[in-house]
Amino acid sequence: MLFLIILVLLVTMVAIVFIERGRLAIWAAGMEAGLILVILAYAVIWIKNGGISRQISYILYFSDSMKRFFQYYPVSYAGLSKLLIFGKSLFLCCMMLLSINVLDTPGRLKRRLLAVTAVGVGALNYGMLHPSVYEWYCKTEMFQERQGDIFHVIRLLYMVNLAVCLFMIAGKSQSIKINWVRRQFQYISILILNLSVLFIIFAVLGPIQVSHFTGSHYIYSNFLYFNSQWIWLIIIVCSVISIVIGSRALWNYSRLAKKIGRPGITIDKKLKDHNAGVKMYTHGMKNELLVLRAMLRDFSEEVPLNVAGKEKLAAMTAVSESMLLRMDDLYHAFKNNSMVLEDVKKPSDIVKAAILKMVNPSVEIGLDVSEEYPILADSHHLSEAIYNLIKNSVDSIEQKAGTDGNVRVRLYIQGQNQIFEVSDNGEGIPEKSLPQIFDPFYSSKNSKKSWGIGLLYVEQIVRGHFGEISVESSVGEGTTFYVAIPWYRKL
Amino acid sequence: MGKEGLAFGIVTGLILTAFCTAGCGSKQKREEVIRVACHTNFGGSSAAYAALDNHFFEREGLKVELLEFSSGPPAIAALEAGDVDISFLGHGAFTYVLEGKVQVIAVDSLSNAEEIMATKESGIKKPEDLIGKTIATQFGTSGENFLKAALVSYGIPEDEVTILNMDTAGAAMALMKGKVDAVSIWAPYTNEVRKALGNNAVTVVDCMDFRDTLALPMSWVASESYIDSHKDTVEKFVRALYAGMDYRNENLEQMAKLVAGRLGMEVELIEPDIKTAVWFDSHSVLSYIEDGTIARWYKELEKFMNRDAEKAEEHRIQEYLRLDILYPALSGKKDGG
Repeated sequence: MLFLIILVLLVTMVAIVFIERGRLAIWAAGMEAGLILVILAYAVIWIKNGGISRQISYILYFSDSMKRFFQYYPVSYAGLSKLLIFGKSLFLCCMMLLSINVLDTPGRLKRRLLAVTAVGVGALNYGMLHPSVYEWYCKTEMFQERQGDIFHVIRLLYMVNLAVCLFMIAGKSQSIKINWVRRQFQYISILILNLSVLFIIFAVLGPIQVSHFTGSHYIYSNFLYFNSQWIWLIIIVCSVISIVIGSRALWNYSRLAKKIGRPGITIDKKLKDHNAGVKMYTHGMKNELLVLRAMLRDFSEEVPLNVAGKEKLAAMTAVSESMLLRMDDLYHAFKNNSMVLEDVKKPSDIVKAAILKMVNPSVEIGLDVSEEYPILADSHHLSEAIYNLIKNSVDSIEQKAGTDGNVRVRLYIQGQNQIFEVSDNGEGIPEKSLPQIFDPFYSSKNSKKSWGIGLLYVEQIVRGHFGEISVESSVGEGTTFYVAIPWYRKL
Repeated sequence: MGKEGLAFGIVTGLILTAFCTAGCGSKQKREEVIRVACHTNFGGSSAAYAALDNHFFEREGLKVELLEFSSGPPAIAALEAGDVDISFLGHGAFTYVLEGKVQVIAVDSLSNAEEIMATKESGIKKPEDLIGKTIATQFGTSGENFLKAALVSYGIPEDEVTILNMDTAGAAMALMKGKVDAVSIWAPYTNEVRKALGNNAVTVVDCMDFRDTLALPMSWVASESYIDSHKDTVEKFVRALYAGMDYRNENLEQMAKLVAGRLGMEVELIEPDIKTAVWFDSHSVLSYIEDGTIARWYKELEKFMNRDAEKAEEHRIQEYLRLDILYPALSGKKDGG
């Protein structure tokens, strides 16, 4: 059944390469190819050497005919050695390249240097253990005396290589902000971990070099002698299951990455059915506003007004229409439970749209764009959310009479996130109220102007964008909201 | 992490469990069973299978598990690693005895199984024709040992032939497929070549060519530490093994069938093997010990193995031939001679 592992690796490798052609998939496939060569070489070496009980023999190789085929297959030990070493080198190199590929921070030069290092590690391993090089030093007295120790050092270096790569992959997993993507990446981590375990079993614990007869260490590893069918069954079954799970996750991850990386492709993102009460409330408010709209229309037709009165009525009607429109959006946002996330190259456009929604703002609203990367966003909803924050700030300043107020919206990058910072110098929010501001129907403001669902809506929309919202406030000095939306690519 | 976390935990947990139980399981088993490495040929397994099938080990109160190895080096490596307690040893891997890694507890036979074979197409008819040719053999085995003995004997410098390190079964197939010019292998692979190639197979050199100059004893070995810590067990094992050898010598054809069945090989491939050695029994070995013949054979082999060493360390035969085990097992006397 060693060949079952090889078969599963082969199928998943081909599937990954031909269905998904991203770099990540290619390096993962390279790891699997390396492992296939190692396990194949190991299986053939073991068949040719013997030393396995009959039950284990059937578990590992299925049948006598298969065993006999490989036993009599005319390949030299130098050939087997090359296969073994090439497989190990390919695995180590591809694992490092994969780890480098998932790193976010290094620049292009640093990334290239790391890639060269990865290829160098593989080439060094292959070169130093290649039969034609190995024969130069394997028969020296010093080597033969310390062959066991030298092979242990090589094994240790393999383990260090694995540890560094796994550390980088774990770091990447922790740094991913989008939960769903992180979960998918954790699946991949399982695949990588499983491949690493298989590598340890067959490549680290197995023979290092078999081309030259240089004492018992050359062909036999005293670590690798599990003459228990149950141990082999566990190893084989777990490996097969884990490779299949991991490969499927890699496929899903790769598909998502491809979609995200291709502008214009949309992703449906379901929102939680957050609060049925909010839907009912907004529906009710919308009906009230429709009544108000009718009353204003009747009032303008039935009551004669002077010019000033007409202007005030027109302003009241405009405010009413605007509120009705937003309430309609709000109602649909909660009713539909869905948004369409698209590639938005300039997040500042969303903020500009939000500022334009402000009708005759009483305070100055400024926009500073320090740095922006494309994000995945539903422009309409995110714009509405930012509008709510700006509106909160404006209201707060208006409530703090006698202040030369201003609202600033800043855009900048922090780590994996595009930050939308909305700050004001309004009256601020008391510290004890801060934990409640995202609760439904909570409002510290005059109820004529707010229904206490604005921040709940903002939070809902931000979460729908895989983001987070936080607030800092000081009474009398002002409030700052931070909306962090993960950016997904650099232009 | 949810489902994937569970999968992650299960997989790593089970693999770790497998690793942990590997050590425990084997240790537990090691106390109950003597694990013996035999070879996948008549010479390397017939004595052990005779003893096993006739319950000679059981009669001595021993439980023996046989593991089949294709050659000496991996079997001795397994023995050195502690995974095997006792092993068969051809003359090629005798170097391990001289290195002090193992000691001889029983003498099985004098080998006549090795041959240097070629095909008619290769143009090799006599040993001198090997010059410039590619010869496949497995390093560290009787095959390599025999090839080197032949080269020395016929005055062919080693650097005038290309020696390819290949396992014996693979070498036999390589010759059949014309991938190499000649091979130095042993029975039953020699029989396979003859069966496959028929008249196209040529025996260039065989053991009979050296019968007057070099004896090639085949042995059973164990590590010094195992022998010293299990002296009683080893003595019982040797006694049962020689009972098997006695049975083998009286029932060679029957043993060929038994071994073929055990090794999963055709009887017609194993049957010719009964002529590929001088098989010993308990009486002949006892007399060879007493008249010093065995000591002479091992000295000859030792001298041959050290032929390339500038200053070979001289071994006293008592250092590796454990007559303190062998002699009492055969004679019933406690004097190791």
